Amino acid sequence: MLAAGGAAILGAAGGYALGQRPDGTPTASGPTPAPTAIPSPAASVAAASDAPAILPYYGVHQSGVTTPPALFQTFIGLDLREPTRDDAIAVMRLVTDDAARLTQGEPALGDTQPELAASAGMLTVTVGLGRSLFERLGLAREIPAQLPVMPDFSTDRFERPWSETDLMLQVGADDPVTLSHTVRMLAKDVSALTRTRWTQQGFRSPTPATPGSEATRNLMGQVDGTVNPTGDDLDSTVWIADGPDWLAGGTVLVLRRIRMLMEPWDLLDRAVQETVIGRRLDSGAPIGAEHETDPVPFDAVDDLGLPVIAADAHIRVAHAPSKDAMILRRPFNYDDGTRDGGRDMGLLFAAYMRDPRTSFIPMQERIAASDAFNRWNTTVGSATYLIPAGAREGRFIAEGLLT
Amino acid sequence: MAAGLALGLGLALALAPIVVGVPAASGHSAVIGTEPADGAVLEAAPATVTVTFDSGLIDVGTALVVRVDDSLIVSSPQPTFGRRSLSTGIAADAPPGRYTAAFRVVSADGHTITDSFSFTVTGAGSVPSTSASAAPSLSPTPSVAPAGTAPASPDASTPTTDGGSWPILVGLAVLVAVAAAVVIAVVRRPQT
Repeated sequence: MLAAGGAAILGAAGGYALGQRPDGTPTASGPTPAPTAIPSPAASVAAASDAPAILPYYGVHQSGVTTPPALFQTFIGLDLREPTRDDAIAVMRLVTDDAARLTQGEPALGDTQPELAASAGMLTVTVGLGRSLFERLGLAREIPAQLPVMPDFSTDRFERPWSETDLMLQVGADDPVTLSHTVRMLAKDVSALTRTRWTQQGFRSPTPATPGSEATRNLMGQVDGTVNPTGDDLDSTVWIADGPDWLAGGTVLVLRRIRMLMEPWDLLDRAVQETVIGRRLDSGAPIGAEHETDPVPFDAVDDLGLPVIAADAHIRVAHAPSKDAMILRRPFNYDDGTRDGGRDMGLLFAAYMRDPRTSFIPMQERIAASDAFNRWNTTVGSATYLIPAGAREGRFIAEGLLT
Repeated sequence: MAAGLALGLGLALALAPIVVGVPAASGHSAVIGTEPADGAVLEAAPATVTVTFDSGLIDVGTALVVRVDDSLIVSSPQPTFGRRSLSTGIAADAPPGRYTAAFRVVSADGHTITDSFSFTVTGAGSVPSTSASAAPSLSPTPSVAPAGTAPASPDASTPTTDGGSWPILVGLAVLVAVAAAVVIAVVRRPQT
């Protein structure tokens, strides 16, 4: 199954049927310099055969944001044990160094299971900074305007422990064993300086939602991720254009843990499930349209004069009214078994944007106010992080902020 | 005013099972009445149009659109949702013509109910509007609406449920209207 998944993703990476990237192939994303590490066996294999691609680590942007999504992704929330700038610098140095090696198929320094580092297909490590990191380090005045305090939304029902932490590490990989190893190496190397508050593990389908689709299906079977920006819109949606070197080229991650209320959802007939979202379940096409990527016929009415896309349909409420309001959605599913007698499953909603004040926040306010879908899902956790610019070789993430 | 109408509706709901009998249990919500009644001929446009159901609804994808002669929309953009009813205000200057009210609701057990009913406004008389403040202004049907595809006769658009009780429901609607008018009159009395 994993081999099949890897092959599917490679097919996608090669031809860009899935997760098409406007910035070229994974190994040539923007001005990212080629990795200087000696090509590992895994990297060589990747170049020559069907193994998934090794993604470059160093560059203007951190990988794991606009690079094609991997099959598995884990987020870990960490807090500094002691809020000192020296400790923060040490953490960033360690994480950057580990990530630069592991993402290229090289063991971390002192890696106790170096064999597990070899299969590094699509492996990315992305670092985020919470507001509390700035505040605890006495750097509150450096908090970028793009990293506001997230407002409370009326539909939020937060549970411990999924709240915002000082630091966030996002690790994506196509091989779940490599992913586990990478997370453990990173956590181990910074464990003297940090405490892990939570770990959230997600996965996505290796199969396009429909043939040729860039989206996949979530655990409710919905085609998820159709309206993501592409081309120039992708860059302008995601990347922060101005600011100090550690900020420009960065982005903001909004990570929300959304539990799907599967049991009541299952009671709805398909027509209602489609009305709630505004899309067909089979094709992912908007109701009243034919293909997944067709424009949504917001103004269409049926022969009775009723709106085809309901007033409270998810795609109407979540629709970005302008390009400034767009976000890049990279959702992952989670399935943690049972909880309180029901299934504990849903979505790790991960979205990237250059400014949530013009995009995510107004969208989520609209959703909280009137989205029909609210009845069948609950946001139980939320955390927002500044994703600093990528590291140049010999430097570490957020160096300009901390030194 | 709203309280008066709600009370009137409540009265209708309370009486409905007695007057028309409980509709056969189908597992889904069914329409037990509309106001105005399907096929009614009115001298003036009603202030509101209401559809009442025999069991609970959930407010997702809810729509209620009233058109005159299949083109001019005379209903509020946002229908008023009750647990077992759906209603909308009608524009105070709504013209005479053949009115078609189409609705879509979701029953509490997760099924869509889409249907329509029609009535005629002759324009021979006028009644005071009871929803002047909430009355929507007239808006033409969006051009994407296929013209002439709505049911051609009142009979064709009769809700499929419990058709035999419609004459009784007309009477019930009159009863509700009277009850509502009485309540409104009381509510409207100058406060001291």
